[in-house]
Amino acid sequence: MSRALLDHRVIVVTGKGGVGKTSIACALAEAARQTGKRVLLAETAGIESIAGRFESNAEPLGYAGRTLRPGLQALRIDPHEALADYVRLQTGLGAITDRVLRSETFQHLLNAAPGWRELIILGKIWHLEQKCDARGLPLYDLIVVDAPATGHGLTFLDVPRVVQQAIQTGPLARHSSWVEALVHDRERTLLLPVTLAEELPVTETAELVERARQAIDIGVDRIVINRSNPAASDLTSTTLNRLPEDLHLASLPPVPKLIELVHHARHRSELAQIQRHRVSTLCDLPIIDFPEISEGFTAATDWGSHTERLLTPPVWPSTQHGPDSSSS
Amino acid sequence: MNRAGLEHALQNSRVIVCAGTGGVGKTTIAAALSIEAARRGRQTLVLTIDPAKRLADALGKSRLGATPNQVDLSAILSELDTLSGGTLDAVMLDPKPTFDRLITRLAPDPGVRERILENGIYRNLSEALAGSAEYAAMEQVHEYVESGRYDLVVVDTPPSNHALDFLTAPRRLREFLDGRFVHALVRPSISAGRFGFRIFGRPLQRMFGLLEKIAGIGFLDDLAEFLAAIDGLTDGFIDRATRVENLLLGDDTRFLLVCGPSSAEEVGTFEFLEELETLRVRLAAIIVNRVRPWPLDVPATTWLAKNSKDTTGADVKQLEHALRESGESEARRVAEQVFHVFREAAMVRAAADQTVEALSERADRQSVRCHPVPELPDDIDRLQGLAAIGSALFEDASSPLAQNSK
Repeated sequence: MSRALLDHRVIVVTGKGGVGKTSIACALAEAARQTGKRVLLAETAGIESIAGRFESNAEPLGYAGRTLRPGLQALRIDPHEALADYVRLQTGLGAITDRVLRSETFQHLLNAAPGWRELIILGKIWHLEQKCDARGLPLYDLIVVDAPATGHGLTFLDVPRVVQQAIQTGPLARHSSWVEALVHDRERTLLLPVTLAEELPVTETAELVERARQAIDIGVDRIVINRSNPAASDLTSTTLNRLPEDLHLASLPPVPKLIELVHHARHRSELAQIQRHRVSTLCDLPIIDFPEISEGFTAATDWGSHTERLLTPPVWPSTQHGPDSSSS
Repeated sequence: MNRAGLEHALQNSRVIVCAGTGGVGKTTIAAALSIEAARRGRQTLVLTIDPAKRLADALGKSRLGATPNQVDLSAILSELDTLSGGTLDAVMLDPKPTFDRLITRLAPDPGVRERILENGIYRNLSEALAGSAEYAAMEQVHEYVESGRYDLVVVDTPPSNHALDFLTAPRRLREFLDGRFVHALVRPSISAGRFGFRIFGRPLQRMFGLLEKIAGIGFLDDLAEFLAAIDGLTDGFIDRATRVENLLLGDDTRFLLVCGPSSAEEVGTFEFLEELETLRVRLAAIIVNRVRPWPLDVPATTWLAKNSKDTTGADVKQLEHALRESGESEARRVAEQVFHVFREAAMVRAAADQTVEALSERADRQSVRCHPVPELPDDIDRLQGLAAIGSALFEDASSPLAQNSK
């Protein structure tokens, strides 16, 4: 284990759409906050969904962001606002810049132009990482980034390098190199892939980790498996067949239906175990199991009991007592 | 509620798009629907993107490739089905299609093609162009529809959070190519050098000035060169983009929103639905995939409310006793395990019921129906599994999940 999770400055939470990436990012930010860190949670998707997980009837966070809990700030990095911010900083021009940026022509250009959103979002994260308080200490101990879904999620990290290849001189090239340095810095930055114990998400996670190592060169040292319940039932066909056929219990269905249900559950659980091992083996990384939260992550969820799980040391499934794969 | 949405789409549409976030089984639903369409006599093509290994096996993986291949349905079609004359072809989309394909097709000669493909800006940034892969995928759908070989093309969308980019990509591309910016840059006098920018109005001049200041000298020259190179292709691009957009948003196309049963996904699905509405997509149905079977008449939520760990104690004891009578040496542990597993199944199912209920309410507003599809005990690796899902979608669905306990 290289570094403890919370010793990083920037954790980029990534994963295929639908695996619960945003929930994990929220849980991680909450866990860090509870250890006394000053945390910033940044969302990058087009539609806000973080505030609603902390507050019912939440107002949007917006680019300015706000405090969600003591020690936890959150914002949505809107690329258009971040761009205006950046251009203003670069040119020192306020009103003219705004007029140009808002012009229809420029909007058309932006809508079609590739890469700038990713670059500007990452640039903003860099800027936030650099920010200091009055005492000269970093304003945030940890920045948790809810990255775009996989595919787009890694392109996002690759853009600074691409920009430097396309543009060799000028401020943009220089700034891109700073951002790129942050991406590569193992001390400061960690990529945290989130997956489910299912075939396709696991396949995609393996590709993601491969690309993170080969093309992007970003630190990755563990994988979070969301909705994972590693304690598989060890009810076997033999034990179940001992259930008396004529058994009638008030709360349970007739025995054949009960057996069918238990078989079904065990089967699904075994398939999940296989994928849990597979992702660890393919990526050569230990894992953190994050349980299914039946009510989902909402303002009403009792977070405290769940979030700590993310801070436990990751495990290698092979050394755990896994399910007996020869059964069934 | 009427179920005509799905049925109608299957019988009359030329394109069905299965949309939704990743990992919810869009590919499975697309394949199951295609089988149903073939059963009903339609010449059907299913376009899959990166199918799970076992699903690919079910579709005849050895022959599933970049060109359409017929799927042998003889194992699952009844005699009546066979008489309908329907067929099913399957094709795997190029998982990483890029604009290279389009450029290659549209470029008037190899010289222009090379100039574009080797332009530094194009090379570095085309991959990042938001939605370009998705757009290229829909281009392929358009091609198959135009070919006239099929009555119906069923397609699953690429797994990404930007799954709807393909819908807006044609418009964005068109707006960009049509815009003043491009016209300014590609005028011959301009592409000769950046000083030409001065002849434009002040806003454009300012904009170019800003771009140079940020991106560095030389960037605009590169960009102008790139745009000049694709200028000749612009009309072709715009024309195709318009036709793809018209196909996807027109009356020949229906969308299905596919989502998973976990309540955690509800928020995302609602957002997705809103986006679809904004884009004026024609929605045929919402499908909640992989709903855990439930063997009792009382809903899982009710069961959980009535049977807390405290109240089931007597039943656990009774089960333990019965097991011991039958010679089970670890009767206590097994009895507890049975209840544990059952309770967990109830929780999974209760969450799914809640999702279905919430989405049904939402679906009502769009006058479409929400169809739950049962989770199968195993991953699907044979046509029979797909056919079972297809029938579940079209069977009398007043209690669509009760039929699960065979």
